[in-house]
Amino acid sequence: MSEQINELFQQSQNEFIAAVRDGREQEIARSISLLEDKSPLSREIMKQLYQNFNKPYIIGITGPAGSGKSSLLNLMLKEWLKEPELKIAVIAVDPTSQRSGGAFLGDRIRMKDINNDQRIFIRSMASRGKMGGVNSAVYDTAVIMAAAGYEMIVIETVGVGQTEIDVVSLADTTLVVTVPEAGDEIQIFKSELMEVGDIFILNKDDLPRAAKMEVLLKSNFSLIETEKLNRKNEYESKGSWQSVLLKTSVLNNHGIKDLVKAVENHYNYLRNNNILEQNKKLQLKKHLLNLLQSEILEKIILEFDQEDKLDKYLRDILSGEASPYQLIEEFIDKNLTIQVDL
Amino acid sequence: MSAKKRVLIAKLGLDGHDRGAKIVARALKEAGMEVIYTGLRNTAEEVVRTAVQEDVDLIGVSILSGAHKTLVKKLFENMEAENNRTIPVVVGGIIPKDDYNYLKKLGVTKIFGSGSSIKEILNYVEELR
Repeated sequence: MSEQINELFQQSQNEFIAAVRDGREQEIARSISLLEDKSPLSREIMKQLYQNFNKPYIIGITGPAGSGKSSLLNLMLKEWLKEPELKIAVIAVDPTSQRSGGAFLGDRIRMKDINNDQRIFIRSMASRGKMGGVNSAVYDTAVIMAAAGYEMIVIETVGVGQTEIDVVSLADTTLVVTVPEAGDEIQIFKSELMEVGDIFILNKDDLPRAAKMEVLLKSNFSLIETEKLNRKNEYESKGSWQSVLLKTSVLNNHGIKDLVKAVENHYNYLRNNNILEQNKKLQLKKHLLNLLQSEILEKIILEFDQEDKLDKYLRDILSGEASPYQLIEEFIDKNLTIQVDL
Repeated sequence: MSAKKRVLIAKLGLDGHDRGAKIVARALKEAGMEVIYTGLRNTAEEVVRTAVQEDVDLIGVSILSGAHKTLVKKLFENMEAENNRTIPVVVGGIIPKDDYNYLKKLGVTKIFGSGSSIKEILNYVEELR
């Protein structure tokens, strides 16, 4: 009996996988949800999809909230669609509210020009858990989309925290969007965004402070280039690419063609220098580490965060009987033993 | 981790009154759901395709133009054409009571007319499935 059920399950699963590979939106969407919800079914699906793993070309686009990422993407997608038969998927990540667990996913509003095109698939994704899990979900979503025949995948994130920077590190080409009112020199120095971009975009260049911001960005730029030369190994994946700064305005539809050209240049640069192939391995490595990290964290924290146990820890600390370090050390010694053969 | 509820909130058709839709979207977000908000002036085709791509558990459309009968009919026609899974649809906005039956016959599971409370809407969505 159970064998029969197994067989039936196997059969419908094969049909499901075939539908994903065939590019059917409903099945693609479903497999992304299963992945996000960490359903056991998702493991089976991913196992099959990884079997012939097509690495897509991944573009990351990041920048502060309200800098115009989605609007720019809307215009870029319009240009890219001029390429016949190119299928493009977008993963638009927005933050989950830590307080309610809910999320307001509104990136699609800005992509009205293209969302009817049959060659575009847009998926909004909330960052969900606190433990960096979004990175692995994003990567595996890209794997699903690639299996479904999307050759180019754009990941859009708000560039504020470490998580978002990490998401971008899964990309082959990284676009960093900034705006004239993004702050002064000090803000630029602070921002890690400046270190991750292949192409920098000063959007809203119709605003009065644009020229001043351009000067600031350019002067900061040269320092980064020198830094890259000094630490060549760490920037291995970036190779000898010279970052560029482009000015755009969505309002005036200005600079978009140059931007699309710059992305194409970067793609050609990656391909001609065999970097796309190297990236595949580097990104997979990051994905593996992300997965490991989020799985371990989740298990450990689940174990740690049990009401009575945690309450005892807290009482011990508050009464002065134990220090946080002592408790953590004990907890780790008890729960996390890894045999290391030397 | 249990499955998160995903809801699409969209304005269907040409009216520009989105206060209600935005408030409902915010309330659902604050109740812990993932809300995909597509803003003003969506066609029935766009709403259905978005719902499929986003794999939502519920479609909520807001209509204040008076064209709800035509628009909702189109929505269900598109859903049948594109999709073999029926996604529950709720309608909000200014809908005369006389039209409730017509909309329900099309397949609308619930109508929240003017005067509906946020609590009422939340209760309904939370109890889905």
